[in-house]
Amino acid sequence: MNVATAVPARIGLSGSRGASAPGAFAAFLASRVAVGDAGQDAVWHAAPERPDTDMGDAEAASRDRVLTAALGGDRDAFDAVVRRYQGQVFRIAGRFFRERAEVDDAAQETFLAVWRRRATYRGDAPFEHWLTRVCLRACYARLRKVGRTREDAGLEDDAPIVARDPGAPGAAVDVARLLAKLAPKDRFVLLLLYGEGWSTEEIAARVGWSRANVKVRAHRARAKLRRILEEDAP
Amino acid sequence: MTLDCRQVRGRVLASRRSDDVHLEAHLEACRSCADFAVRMEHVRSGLEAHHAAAEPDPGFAVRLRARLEGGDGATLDTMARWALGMLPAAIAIAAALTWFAAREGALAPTAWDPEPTAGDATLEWILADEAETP
Repeated sequence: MNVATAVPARIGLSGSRGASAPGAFAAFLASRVAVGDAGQDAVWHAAPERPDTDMGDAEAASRDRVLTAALGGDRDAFDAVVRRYQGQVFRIAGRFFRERAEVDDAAQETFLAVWRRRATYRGDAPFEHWLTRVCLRACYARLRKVGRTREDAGLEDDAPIVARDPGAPGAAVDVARLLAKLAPKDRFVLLLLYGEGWSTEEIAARVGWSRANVKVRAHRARAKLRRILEEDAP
Repeated sequence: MTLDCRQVRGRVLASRRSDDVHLEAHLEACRSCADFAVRMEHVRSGLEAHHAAAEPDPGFAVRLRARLEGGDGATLDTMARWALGMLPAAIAIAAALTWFAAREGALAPTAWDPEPTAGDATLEWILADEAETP
């Protein structure tokens, strides 16, 4: 099996200007600019999707106005936020689910959670980071809830994970089958460790778990992966 | 320092092959661990490539808005307006169903109380039992 396929873009995280200090954000909320100023907010709406760090001042100010309104309960502003960040959320969810319907469901659950929990966003981290955390947790919850994804349904036979080809230099691994054999919590951690290439510290920071918790989960997941690779070896 | 197979596999799982001379020396000498390292490299590459190239469709935000309006986001006022709008239709449907049920009830035999037939084994058994009773 040729696994040297193009590696897709990883879950991007970037810093964000504005709304990053709790005090500044609270002050900003208090003195929020009237939302719906089409002339100013159009700057952000019309701009191509890109990391917040690459924004100019006018665009960042426009973004802050829309975000503030959305987090204050303005549905139209929230629509604008959804349209702006939906690509990022789909990229994250696409790491855990390969079927489009599953990705769509996870993305919807993410934005619903953002809406329902918008009051808990304190502004002490950039919105993109908070959104990423909510999305990762929504994906984890969904993985646990559905147990096996729809794509796993066709992989329930006992076909080997490691190809038994004596002529091959090393044996190719059927990753889809491997993932189908793993419990959702192990799958989640391994996709972040190996798929995203994140360290346990990075996972802890982005998902919002303690470092000890992530280390234990990573240790268990790696042990299961090792066992599967050893048991399934030709 | 020499590493045993367990230690080597732990290192292979923890990070990509590097300039760890002890690890490489073991892999040179141990065919089983070398195969394990190759399989693990396949896993890494496969998991990196495990990504749905799904982009949001134009209707995504609209569907989300509908869910917000229908669930968490629906205000009492919105729901009340919707319920009032549906009231005439609900009354009409209920009236039609009532009329239909009454009409069917008058014309059709009751399905839950069938006429006993001579071939009904249970009935024959009951009748025979009664006949034997003094």
